[in-house]
Amino acid sequence: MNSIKRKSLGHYLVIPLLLLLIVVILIPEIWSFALSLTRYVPGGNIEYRGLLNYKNIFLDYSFWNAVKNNIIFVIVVVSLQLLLALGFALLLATGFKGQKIWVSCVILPYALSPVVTVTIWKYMLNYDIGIINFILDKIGFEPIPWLSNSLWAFIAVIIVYTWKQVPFTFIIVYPARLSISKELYEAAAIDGANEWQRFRFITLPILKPTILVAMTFRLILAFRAFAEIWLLTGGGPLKSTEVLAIYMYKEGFRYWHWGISAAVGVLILLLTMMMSYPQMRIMYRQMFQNE
Amino acid sequence: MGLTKYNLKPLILWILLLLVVIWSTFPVCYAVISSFKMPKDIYRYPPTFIPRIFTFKNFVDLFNNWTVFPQAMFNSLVISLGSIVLTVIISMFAAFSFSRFSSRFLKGSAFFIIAIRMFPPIIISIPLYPILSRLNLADSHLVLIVLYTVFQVTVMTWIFKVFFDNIPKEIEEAAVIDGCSPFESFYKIIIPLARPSIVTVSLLVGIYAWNEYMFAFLFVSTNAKTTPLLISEMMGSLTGIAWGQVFAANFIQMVPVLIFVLLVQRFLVKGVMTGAFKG
Repeated sequence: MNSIKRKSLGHYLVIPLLLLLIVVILIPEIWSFALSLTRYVPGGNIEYRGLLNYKNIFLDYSFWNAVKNNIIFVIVVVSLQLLLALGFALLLATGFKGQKIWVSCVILPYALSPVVTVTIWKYMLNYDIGIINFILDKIGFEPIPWLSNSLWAFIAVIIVYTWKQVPFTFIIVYPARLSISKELYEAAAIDGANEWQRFRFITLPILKPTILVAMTFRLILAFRAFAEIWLLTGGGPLKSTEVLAIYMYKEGFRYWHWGISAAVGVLILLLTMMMSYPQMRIMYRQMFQNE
Repeated sequence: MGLTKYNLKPLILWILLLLVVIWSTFPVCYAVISSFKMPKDIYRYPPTFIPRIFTFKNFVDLFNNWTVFPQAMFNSLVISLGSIVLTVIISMFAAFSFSRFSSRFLKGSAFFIIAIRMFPPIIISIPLYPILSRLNLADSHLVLIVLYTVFQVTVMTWIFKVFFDNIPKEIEEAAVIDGCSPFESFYKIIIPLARPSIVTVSLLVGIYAWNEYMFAFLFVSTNAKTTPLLISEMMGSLTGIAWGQVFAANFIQMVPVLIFVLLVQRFLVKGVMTGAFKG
């Protein structure tokens, strides 16, 4: 197959990567699965409990609360990201003077730490001195208790997370939109297609595969959201913004229920793998597409 | 089409653009400007956008009250550079294998790498934390460097692989015929040609490591405290948040990255795209 005769060397070059992944991810994850079948406190004894941890998790109201929050969070956040990113991409693709500056503006939130993002938004969402309540007041609305009310805290988490993540989707959708040739639109215009028809029958079908890829990735990543939510609300008030990653963190690092936490980790992994499976197949095929 | 007739369409588009730009940049601008306000003006209601008095007081206060801040910046720098070097070396080697060779071993490895890439980082904190703290390794630069590398290296392998695929094999073959050893042809020919992809990968890994919060929060307490972790601690102060100092710290933490991103936007967009499509 290969004209260059150094097949053996070719194999060795991938080994550092494999070793790293096996030692730091695979073996700990197997160990984690083992822990999920035990009662364990770091430094203490390990006691086999079979599937008891899983049973207890499924009987725990907080777990189902976290599942519910996570599902709503993922659906809303991913839809918003896709809509905004697509809208931004279509708008910017019409072409403006100083295009590069505007593109940079849109991807700006990407470069921020989740910590910096949350500090800024916490200040803007402050009930007493925040600029958002100030603007709401100016246009005739009551101030909103953003972080102390369960529903508003959930909305705040969605806004902040979406704000931070839109650039990732934009970076994928925007170049794809730019790569659609102008002639297609011109031809359609000659045939009498209006703006909506051109969007519906040219832009959307061509962008569909790209949007699907972006969607899969954003689903998987939103499902594991931790930093932004933890920093903004800590999962509160009254667990109203607690998602699975926070539930898992608290079980382990706060309540010291290491076995239960490990079991939640196993469940998160299983769900992630189910969501990723179609994408993994596509990636695997692409990897060897050149042959 | 109807709007074009009256030439309203460009105006509407510019207004929409303005809204998009405000949405994306206002929070950042507001934070940057606030870091130069007098502390009492930051608490003022109604809030003002432009500082009434322009001052560096917050920066002075930050370095006086949070003497660990320079150390945290240094830790972040060491950890970011360490992650970049380790990720580039490991993923470049692996990508070269995937780009130039084919075997059942490599196909199996590819499947393993793709699957591992999907693992949520938080789930390995539970098994790793007890082991690392027993080995007294938890609160170290090395742990964060390795963790950041491990969760970036699979994507970066893809980015390098896509790039290597575009370098014709004939170049290396010619070099081998001219008497280069395979290893020489790799570092004398491939690495120099791969420079743009090295920039892209370094940038993506650097931004991630410089900004990361979760692993720092879970594993690190004092020795390897990073800037984001320190800022999050400033927010958790029981005596009330000193917003001025938080904004000063935000400014120092984010501005270098923002300038960097603006300068090399092209590499960034390309990298994220490749990472998303080819794996």
